[in-house]
Amino acid sequence: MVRACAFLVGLVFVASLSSAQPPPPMPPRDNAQATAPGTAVIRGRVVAADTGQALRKAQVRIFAPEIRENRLATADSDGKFEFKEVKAGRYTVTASKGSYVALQYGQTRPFEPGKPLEILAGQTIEKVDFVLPHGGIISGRLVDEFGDPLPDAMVAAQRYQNFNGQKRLVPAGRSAQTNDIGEFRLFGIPPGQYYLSATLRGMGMMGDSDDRTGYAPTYFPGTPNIAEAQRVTVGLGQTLTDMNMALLPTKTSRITGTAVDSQGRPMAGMVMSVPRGDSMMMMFGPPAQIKPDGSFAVSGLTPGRYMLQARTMGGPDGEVAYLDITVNGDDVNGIKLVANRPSSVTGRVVVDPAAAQALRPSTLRLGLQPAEPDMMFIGGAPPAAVNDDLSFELKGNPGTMRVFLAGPAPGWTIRAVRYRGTDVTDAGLEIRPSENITDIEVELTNRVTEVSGLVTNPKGEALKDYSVIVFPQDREKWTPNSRYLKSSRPDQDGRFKVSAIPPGEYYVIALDYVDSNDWNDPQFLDGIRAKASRFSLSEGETKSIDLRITSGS
Amino acid sequence: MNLIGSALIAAAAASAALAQAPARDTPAPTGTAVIRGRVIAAAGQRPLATVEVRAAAGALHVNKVVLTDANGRYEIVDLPAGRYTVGTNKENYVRASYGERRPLGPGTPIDVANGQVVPRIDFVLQRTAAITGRVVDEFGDPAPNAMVMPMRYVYVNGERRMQQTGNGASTNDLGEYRVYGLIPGRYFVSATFGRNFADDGGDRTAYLPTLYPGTGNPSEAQRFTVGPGQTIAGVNIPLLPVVGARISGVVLDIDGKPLTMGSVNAMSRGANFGNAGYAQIKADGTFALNAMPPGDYTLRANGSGMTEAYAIADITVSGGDISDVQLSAVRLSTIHGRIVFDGPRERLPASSLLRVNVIHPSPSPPMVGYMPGGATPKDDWTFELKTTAGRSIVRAGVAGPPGDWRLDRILTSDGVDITDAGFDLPVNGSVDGVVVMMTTRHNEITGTVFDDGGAPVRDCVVVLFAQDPQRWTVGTRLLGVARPDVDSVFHLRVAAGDYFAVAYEQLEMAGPSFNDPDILQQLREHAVPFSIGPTDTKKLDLRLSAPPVY
Repeated sequence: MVRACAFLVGLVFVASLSSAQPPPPMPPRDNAQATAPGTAVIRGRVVAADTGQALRKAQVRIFAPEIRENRLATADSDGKFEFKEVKAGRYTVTASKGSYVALQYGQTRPFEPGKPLEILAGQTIEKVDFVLPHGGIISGRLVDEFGDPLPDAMVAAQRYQNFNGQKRLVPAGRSAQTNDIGEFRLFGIPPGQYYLSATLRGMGMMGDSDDRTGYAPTYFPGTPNIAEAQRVTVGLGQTLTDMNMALLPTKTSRITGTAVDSQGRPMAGMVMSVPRGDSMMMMFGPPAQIKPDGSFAVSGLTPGRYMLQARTMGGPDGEVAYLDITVNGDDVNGIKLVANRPSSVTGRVVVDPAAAQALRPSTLRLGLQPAEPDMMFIGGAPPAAVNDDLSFELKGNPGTMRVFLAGPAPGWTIRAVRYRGTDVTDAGLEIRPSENITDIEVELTNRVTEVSGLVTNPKGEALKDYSVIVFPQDREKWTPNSRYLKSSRPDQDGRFKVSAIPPGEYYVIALDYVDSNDWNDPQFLDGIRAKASRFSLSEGETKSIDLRITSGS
Repeated sequence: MNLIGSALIAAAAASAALAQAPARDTPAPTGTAVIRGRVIAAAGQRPLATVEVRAAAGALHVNKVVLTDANGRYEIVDLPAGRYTVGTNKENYVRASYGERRPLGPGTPIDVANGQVVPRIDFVLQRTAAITGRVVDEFGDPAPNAMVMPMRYVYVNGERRMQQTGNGASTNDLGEYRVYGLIPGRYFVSATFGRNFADDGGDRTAYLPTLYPGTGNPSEAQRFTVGPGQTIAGVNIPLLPVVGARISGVVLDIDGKPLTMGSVNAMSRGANFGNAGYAQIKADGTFALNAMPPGDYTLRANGSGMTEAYAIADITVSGGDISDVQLSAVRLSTIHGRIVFDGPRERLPASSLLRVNVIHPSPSPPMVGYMPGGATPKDDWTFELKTTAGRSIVRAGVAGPPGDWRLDRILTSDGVDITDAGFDLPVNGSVDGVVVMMTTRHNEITGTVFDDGGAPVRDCVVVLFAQDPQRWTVGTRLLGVARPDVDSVFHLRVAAGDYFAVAYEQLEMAGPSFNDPDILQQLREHAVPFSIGPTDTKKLDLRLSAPPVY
């Protein structure tokens, strides 16, 4: 029988914990290097931790966000890999294979960022080796309240992680789906402590049904309340079996209403209901069809907070209607979803006349992203190109939005965004429904700052493993998504580097280990402030600072 | 048959035993009759809870669903007197209709009088089937995260190809998989393993979609027949490595300048139809797809500045690298036209619900990424459709549940009927003045199928197809498919024309493709000629014939 419901699962991964901000642009380099082939070589070997044997077909990735390089090589039967013609840049290297724990080069603890490789032209770097441990395995069965197997539930091992300043539950590794006999098997899990979660959405017919029961997301050993859940400890390569859970039914809500576009006409299409909870694992329910008269009914919503969303088709001029709603088991009627025409944001790019020669407008693209990381940003218009006369037009949905530089514009960064004389670079623009904004000024600069240096211990010996945090002296700027907050791990020469932070007054500190959940947490920063060094950074300055490691944090 | 029409027929055929759901805003009629019973599982005779049981009386627009309790019991109350079909639905159990004579067959309706309680309308449900096994690579090592899918043959856009039918499953760390929820029928099993199309570290190994027992060639693959509740184990698939080629080139925008950001998608054509890989476009406009297995592909570039343009190229890989591919963007071509209505003005739909779209019946796969979704006309019923150049067939329909309006004809500005012939849309150009005629007029065909003994047959499918083989084309409107209702009478509305009509037993849920010339030639052996005009009402009784082999 063809499924009557369509499930979508959105999994948001936090790939590199040290860069929750958009990637910084490359420091000023010869633009010709962007197109010429590279001349460096990276070689290494991947073996299994338990046996020491070569891991044939392991996948190795090198990634340099600043120059948009992203390459993949497969290890041969001896576990060896090689990248040739590598362009100069700062790379993270990752190795993975099947059920082994994927590691970044230089990573010594689970969930710790690795150490970057600083590659110069013509350089050959050897012995970029990886020892991959076996991942842990969790298997078990899910049953419903009658003891019958519960198929098609998503099961994941989750842990709290700092995501853009908020603690969210993030799955570790891939999630698994229970089969028709309720069995699941999670593999490749790094050692750690996890909440085992099971999520099931929208049983029954597409869109609308009389059924008022469902299953709330449940955590091992079988509670919907994460505060009562037991964390499961997975040791290195450990297999845990019989992690069984019985899911308990809960009352679901039905929401009815109408969806119209900005002209008041019924929207054609579907209403999606997106859960907004603690978890980064979002399981969308079946979409609800909007009838010709604009009415719709969404059923099967377990208690919680959702965003209802409907969109018209029509590319960049498409309209979106959305509404935040919380249900608790009772039905809700009379919802009105009204779409807005996307607002138009127009303006000009300005640069220092001295730098104007070096600017190539065709490489510039500007986009809008929410200033508040909390808002579930489901698709805005793609970044728009800047015209040759430096004017631009962006389309945006209502909210507080920041302008960001999206294009492959190596060496350039946003210096300031101004609207009617006010600096809105970090605060963002208030876009109101159906209102257009004109005369935005986006100032770009190619004088990009860089702060780098070495870290020594009290004996004066250079250290190869540490974490450096750079943070502004002004506490107001300790916000999630802040341009002023960065961290860095040492490269293969023990050097840290932080680029493209705005000029200003800063703290800097080197610590032995920083938990990825803490590094941009204002409370944590308050605690280490007294032990940090200070420095000033001026426009386009390249600064070299050597640090002494700070013990105990 | 236009796209919307064929989707409706498919839906009607699939749920012949269950009537359409009525609009929620009109209150359903009620009465005093009751239907009750019990649902148990065939295996172990256990009571089954949370099974949906539906009683439907199409003529009365009654459609009620309840769930069984912990003892498997259900009761449907407040039913008006009438003739009902009763059926069950539960995930991972084969759908059952009360009184069916074979799994997935049409059920036997029951007559219910006012105030009557009809007890013991019971069901014994079979589980759906499952196929399990292991996927290994060429070294015999387990292949984790490979995707295993049940497949069938379909005939689409003029080609015979494999298509996924039913849910796939991915392999675990041991390479094991379990594909489940299969309804009884015949299946091929295919395994696909992550492609290294981005790999440029020298390893050229790629894996073709591999069909059990271990071949890339659909004609050598083994087909399984699964029955209700069956689990077939040991369906192990050794992946087939092939040496892939490197395909590289440059993407240019409509001004001839290299595209600085975006990706190139490769779709493989032919029997292994599907997404074959993608590569990022570098800042200088170049791209490289590595480890592409031999075959025919259509490359398509996506990126900023490509919203109203497209860049595609067809290439064939036969072993050696290809390094000079140039994808040059051209603007989408435009079709301008208007919609006219032949019917009661008070029943005109809202303009926002009308959709005009285009079918491109070329061997290339449909455009991925650019979602026409069709164009919506303005309030004055004019429309503008942007699409790729080439042979184009225009279709139109009203979004949402089936209504009164259907496509009648498409005319050029000179009045030439291009409904099925289509026209050539020039590259970088436009065609204006297209007239889309919608009508509420329709014909009606009703009839009964009889077996050799003269008894009416309810469990069969009726197919009307064009007498002229030139009309056995993609998107043809000269096609009608229906199944008899509870009274063993079938109803059809088709485009005016000359047809062959045939009826046969189709025991599988997934029938053959009705525009596969091979199938239609088989059906023609036993079909009878039948012609109908645009507004005729005709009766058509048929003898049951042998089913086609496919």
